[in-house]
Amino acid sequence: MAALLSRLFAWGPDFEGSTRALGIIRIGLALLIWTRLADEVAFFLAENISLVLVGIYFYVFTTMMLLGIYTRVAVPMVALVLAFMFFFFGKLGLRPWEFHHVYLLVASTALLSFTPSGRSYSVDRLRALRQAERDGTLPPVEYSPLWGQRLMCLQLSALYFWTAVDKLNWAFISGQRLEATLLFEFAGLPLEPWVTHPIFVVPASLFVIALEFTLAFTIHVRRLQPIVLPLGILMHIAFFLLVPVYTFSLTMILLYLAVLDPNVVHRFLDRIQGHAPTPRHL
Amino acid sequence: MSFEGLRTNNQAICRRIAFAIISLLIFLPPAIPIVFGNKVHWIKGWQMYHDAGLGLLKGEFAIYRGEIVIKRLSPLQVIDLQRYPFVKGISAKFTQVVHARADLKIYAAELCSKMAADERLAYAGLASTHDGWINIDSDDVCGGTP
Repeated sequence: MAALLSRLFAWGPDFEGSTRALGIIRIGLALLIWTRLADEVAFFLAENISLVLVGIYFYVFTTMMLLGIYTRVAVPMVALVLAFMFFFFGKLGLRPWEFHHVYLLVASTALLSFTPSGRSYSVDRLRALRQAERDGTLPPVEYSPLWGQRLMCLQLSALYFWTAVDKLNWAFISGQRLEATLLFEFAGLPLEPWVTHPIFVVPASLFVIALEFTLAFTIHVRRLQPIVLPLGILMHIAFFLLVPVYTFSLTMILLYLAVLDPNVVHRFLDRIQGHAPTPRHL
Repeated sequence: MSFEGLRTNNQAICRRIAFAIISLLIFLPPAIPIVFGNKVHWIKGWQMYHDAGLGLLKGEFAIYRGEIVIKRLSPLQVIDLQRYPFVKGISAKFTQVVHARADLKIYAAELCSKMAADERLAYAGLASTHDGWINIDSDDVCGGTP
């Protein structure tokens, strides 16, 4: 039991590693947030002063998040404004923000708040390097506790698990629900007879349920990742092409970076930038 | 144990507790709408596309004069749409849904109002529900009878 707990702690709350993957996730999330929401909080759409304030708040803190300026403050602030937009404007039907793809952005940004995502690829990093130069000390390491990153991994598992559980009913397993969903998107279009045909919808429904359950557990297993992550990416690309998931697919694919070994990501980035991995920079 | 050691130890304990609590918050709330089946306003379960395509029709309408079919129409043609609403990458709210045979009369109300007195609108087909397709054939949609 003690050994199991020790392994659990080592995997979760005590986990440490390179922060480069988090830096990329931070930048990617900020861009996805802009893609989905930025034009809708522009001032020319603000019918009242509260929307103007939301717009100012949104643009200031998402810009800081993107560039990594005072990241430890900026990311939680973005999480707060997104939560406000989702739970207040979205839930009350004032804006079309009450969707799962928006909620995924809210949840991911909230969990990113628990990470030192500004320690890599950020203005914060640049400032720390300049400070080290002035002080004549070694450059700061891109290495930190990553329990927040592990929470992001658990978020992916929870999402896959519960969405698969939600599909465990005859209507979905038999392909009827997927057929109705695709009928809504494709009715009147040339592909309608193909994508609503039982030859497509029945195997597709079964495949989605099986893969989502598989991903819920196996995305954390390092030796299975070379198989399951490409399958997951293919599934999300298929979702993107077949149903209007908007930023959902790209957010999920971006979050796959969180399940990879952060030190492997770090060394890979060293390699593609053309210099040998330096342990000091870890 | 030194003060520094004690502080590090306390930090680790706090981190583990926070990790456990947030993990539970990640895993448990989405179960509520899925397992118990009821919508909770402030909890978003991971039920993507759970309600998508509900109330859609899969079948064909036919306008009869006497016993002769004079025109066949798809469900979209009856409500004069090219496709279901779609705005900025998101499926827009579609309100003309049919959950039971009785809803057909409302669905086709505009067409019914334009039909001649000796004409009759019939529907042969299905409607989409959470339990799958259900048969809602109707020989007289405008009259509201099966």
